[in-house]
Amino acid sequence: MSTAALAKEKKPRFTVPLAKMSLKAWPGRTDTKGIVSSLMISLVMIGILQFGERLDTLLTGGLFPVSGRVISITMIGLGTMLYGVVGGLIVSEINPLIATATGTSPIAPFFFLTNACQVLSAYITGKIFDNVITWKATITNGVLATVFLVLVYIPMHVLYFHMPVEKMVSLYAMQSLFSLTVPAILLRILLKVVRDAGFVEE
Amino acid sequence: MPKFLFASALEKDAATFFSRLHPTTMLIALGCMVVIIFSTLNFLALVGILAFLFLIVVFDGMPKQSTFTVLLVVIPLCVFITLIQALTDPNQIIARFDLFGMGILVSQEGIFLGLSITLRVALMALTMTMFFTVVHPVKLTRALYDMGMPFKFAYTFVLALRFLPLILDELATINNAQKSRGYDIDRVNPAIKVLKMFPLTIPLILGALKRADTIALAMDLKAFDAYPKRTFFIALQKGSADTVVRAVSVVAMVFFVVVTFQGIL
Repeated sequence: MSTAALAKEKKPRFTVPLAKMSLKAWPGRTDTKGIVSSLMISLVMIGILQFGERLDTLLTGGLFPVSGRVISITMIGLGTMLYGVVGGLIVSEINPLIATATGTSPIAPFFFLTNACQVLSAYITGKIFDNVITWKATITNGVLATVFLVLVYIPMHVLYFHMPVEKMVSLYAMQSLFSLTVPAILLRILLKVVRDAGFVEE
Repeated sequence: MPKFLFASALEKDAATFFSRLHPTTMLIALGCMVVIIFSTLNFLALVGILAFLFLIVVFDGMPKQSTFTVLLVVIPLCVFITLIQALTDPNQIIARFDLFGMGILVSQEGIFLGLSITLRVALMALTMTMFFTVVHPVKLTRALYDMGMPFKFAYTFVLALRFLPLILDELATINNAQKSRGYDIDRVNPAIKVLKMFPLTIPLILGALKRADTIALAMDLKAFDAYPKRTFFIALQKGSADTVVRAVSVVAMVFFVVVTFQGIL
């Protein structure tokens, strides 16, 4: 066997769903453990969002979330990469349900759609990369999620809030700057921590 | 985090007219109300809908304080939207002033548009909150299962409500533990708070995943979702009130949509 082939063989593969890599990313891990674990990640996201959303609400009323978006891309990316699409959807959709039920965010009903986009970006990233615990994969996830979110937010801002989108470009740019860079770093670190803690299984 | 609104439904189950209704009826009413809210931006019509919802909350005996808390959350959004609309709308300028050498124009039409949009957001939030106030989560799970959703997925909402206080308690414990070591997240610059949250996030995630292992094992041992067809302790029955509410909701929705498209509202 050639050296190149040997190197390729030795290269670690960390595929989606990381919690049971023998399964496919769609639907992913749908046993009780997969569902409950995704749910727990979702609840952790809700807990952490308490800190992040305050600043967003204070500055822009939550209309141009920055901290919230960073946290959601990171946590939904983590959930989808660990447990697949169904797990990711559980992580993404429990947050708007709870936020709506508890009245913590007036635009929570829109998070059903915006959060689902982030599952799609993590799923596509899993399809592209053989090893998702890499900088390339997490940066790709951040880029895809940002693009999808901008594509969803602009129609929402125009149709629902009648915002003059052409005058809001600087706000979109600032939001995108954060969501392109920070979640990639956070997700890479979290995935590594979760792998080292033994939650990644063959 | 505010007190969970569903608590009222749990404590006073069947005590109010709307909490006695079938969850599917409430889902239909919710859908119709969302269409009505979206169909118009007329300020007076939206004020009328708000007054109607107020009356429902008062006369149905829903917990007023926790239901209306959502309106307080809308205030920063209201200020932001109204400000942007007032400063960017070019019609009906009522004031102009200089700010750092830039000419700022304030539009009356923009102010009214901003207030109407805010009212619409507030109505959406209030409607959703009222839905979750009167619909018992277990009944909702049952209704979703009857509508064809697999039980293990329908059950996640109930599980989430059950475990959220636990996770929030754990977060508070970790936060206190880090504070005792000199790491106080509340004193961190808000602009970089997200980056500084790792000392809270990592123990919380690892603890939650470990806890999930135990919970999943306990659920599997109790044969969670082991049989394709399951029985329920709670029975859901549709009554004549359900038929009336469904009919009234659909008729009101059709009326509003027709009136709006004809330009009356």
